[in-house]
Amino acid sequence: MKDDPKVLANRLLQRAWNRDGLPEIGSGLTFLVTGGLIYAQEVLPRRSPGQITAILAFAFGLPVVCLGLQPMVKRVRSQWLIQRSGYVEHVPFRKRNYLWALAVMAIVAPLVFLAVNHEERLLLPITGALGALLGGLIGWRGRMVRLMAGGALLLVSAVLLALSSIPVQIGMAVLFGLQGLYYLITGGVVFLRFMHDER
Amino acid sequence: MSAEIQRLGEVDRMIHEPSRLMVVALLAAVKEADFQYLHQSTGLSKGNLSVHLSKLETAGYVAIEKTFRGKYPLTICRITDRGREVLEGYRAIIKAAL
Repeated sequence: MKDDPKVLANRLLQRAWNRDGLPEIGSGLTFLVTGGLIYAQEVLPRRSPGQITAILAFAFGLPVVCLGLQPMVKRVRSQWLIQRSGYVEHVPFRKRNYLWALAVMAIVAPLVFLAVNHEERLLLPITGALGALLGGLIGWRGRMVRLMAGGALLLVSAVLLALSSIPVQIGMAVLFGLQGLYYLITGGVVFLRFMHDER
Repeated sequence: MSAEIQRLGEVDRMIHEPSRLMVVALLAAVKEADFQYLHQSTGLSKGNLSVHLSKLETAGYVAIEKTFRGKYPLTICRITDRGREVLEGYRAIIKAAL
């Protein structure tokens, strides 16, 4: 066996987490809502109730949805899918990992801010690159081609949108919409296959 | 032959077997998991997994508890301190040798 057992275990855990497609369906819906809210902020009349609602939902609602996604997936599984997916109690997320995530954000966020301040259109390729990196890493960790392909799709569409004449905010809405649609489709297919798997 | 290579002869054969190593490594990475989860995650057949779990339980590396969650029967598996110790020892030997 050429892999470290710890690496092997992490790969199996990552694959198990994505086996029923629910995390992708959740992410897909979140991306679609994000795209919709960005679009609404851009096209609705300034300071109209609709635009204010979209801004508030984007600022306060989305972070809650993002944080609640993982517990929600776990709850749905334990409520309705436990006989198929089985029961698992994960070890709590280590503080060290939170610190790592915060450190990376502390480095990346100012760089993105500076780049976008210099040229607004850079927001598109930067978002695409960061998303592709994240999707690629998660996909590679679990050896899941569909997640790596999602990252590649995000990067390609971000670059194409940046090169087009579409306004940046509309481009961001299209980018998130495309990504949401992709994850909704792949997650849906995986979920259907999981439900029909007789193993 | 270097000392690291010679130490390969000391590896615990109970967890050196790939299927059992997969089960023990997986259980070491979670708090606890049930039979169905292990079956789905490892891809082992139910019969095969059952045999390996029995061997690991007999060796004292895994603790198995039968319980219920609502009406659903669960066979909960946890790695024991001994199992964790043996896995760490195994990792150290393999990493040093490769």
